[in-house]
Amino acid sequence: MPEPMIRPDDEALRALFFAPPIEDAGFSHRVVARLRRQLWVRRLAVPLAALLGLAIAFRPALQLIEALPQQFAALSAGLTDAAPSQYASWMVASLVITMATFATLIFVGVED
Amino acid sequence: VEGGCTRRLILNPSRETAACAEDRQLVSRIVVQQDTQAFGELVGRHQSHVRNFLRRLTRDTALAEDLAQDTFLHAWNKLHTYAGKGSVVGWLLKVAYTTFLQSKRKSNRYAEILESVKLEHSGDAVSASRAQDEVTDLDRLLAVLGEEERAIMILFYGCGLSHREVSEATGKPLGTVKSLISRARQKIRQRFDIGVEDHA
Repeated sequence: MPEPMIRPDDEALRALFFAPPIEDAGFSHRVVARLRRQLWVRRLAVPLAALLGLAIAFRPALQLIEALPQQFAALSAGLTDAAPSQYASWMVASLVITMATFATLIFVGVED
Repeated sequence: VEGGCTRRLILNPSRETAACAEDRQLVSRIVVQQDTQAFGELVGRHQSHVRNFLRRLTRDTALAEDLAQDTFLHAWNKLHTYAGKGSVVGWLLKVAYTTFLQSKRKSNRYAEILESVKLEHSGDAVSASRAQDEVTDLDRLLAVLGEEERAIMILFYGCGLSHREVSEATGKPLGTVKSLISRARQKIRQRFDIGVEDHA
């Protein structure tokens, strides 16, 4: 098969690359139809997801609302009855020591 | 011939300016009012450029059609980022090239053409002619180029974009675009033993 016949100038390349215009033939309608479908799905997606979420969460939410007053009552009673214990003192002491150690390390790091 | 990929070579400057102004009006209608009818009009005006570019790039009509549709859908989502700098068609070709690069489906048609050219040179005329169905000179010429060079040559020679527009469309620096065009021309010259002058 012969090699491509190309004239040795720039215009020859342009001529070689020339492509006749493509008829629309419904292409733009297809694109717009696809776009409208996408927009419709997007618009519907949020309300549908909200409805689905509501349907799933309805019963547990109702149970939670019913249980909340009892939980609050128990919590307040617990706080009133709470007294400082040895365990709590140890917790506070270790927290203070840890913070002091980190502060020193950071200070030394900044100084360096 | 309006609507062809070589519009720059055919339209006169005043007509082109008027067309650009109309494009910008359509873009503002789309962005502000989310007007799908205006978008359809914009698609109709530029579908030929985008489809021709993708057909050349993929050498696969079906794949090019899918990519062209995807290109316009991406364009709808990103149109607000079009800053009005440069032509709308240049911007659409940039979106088309990005869509092509991001596509998971790849055409290996050019690899097949290159293989058939090699067979032809090795003297296996039967296998070569079997693989040569409707292969044009341009196909053979594009087959010897890398994917990036091919895209840049199509944008520059096929779509009539300027060096700067090609640079914007591909995201490559201007100097790189010029040297890629120069290198591609050299490859064509070496491969096909022709005297393409180097203007890039």
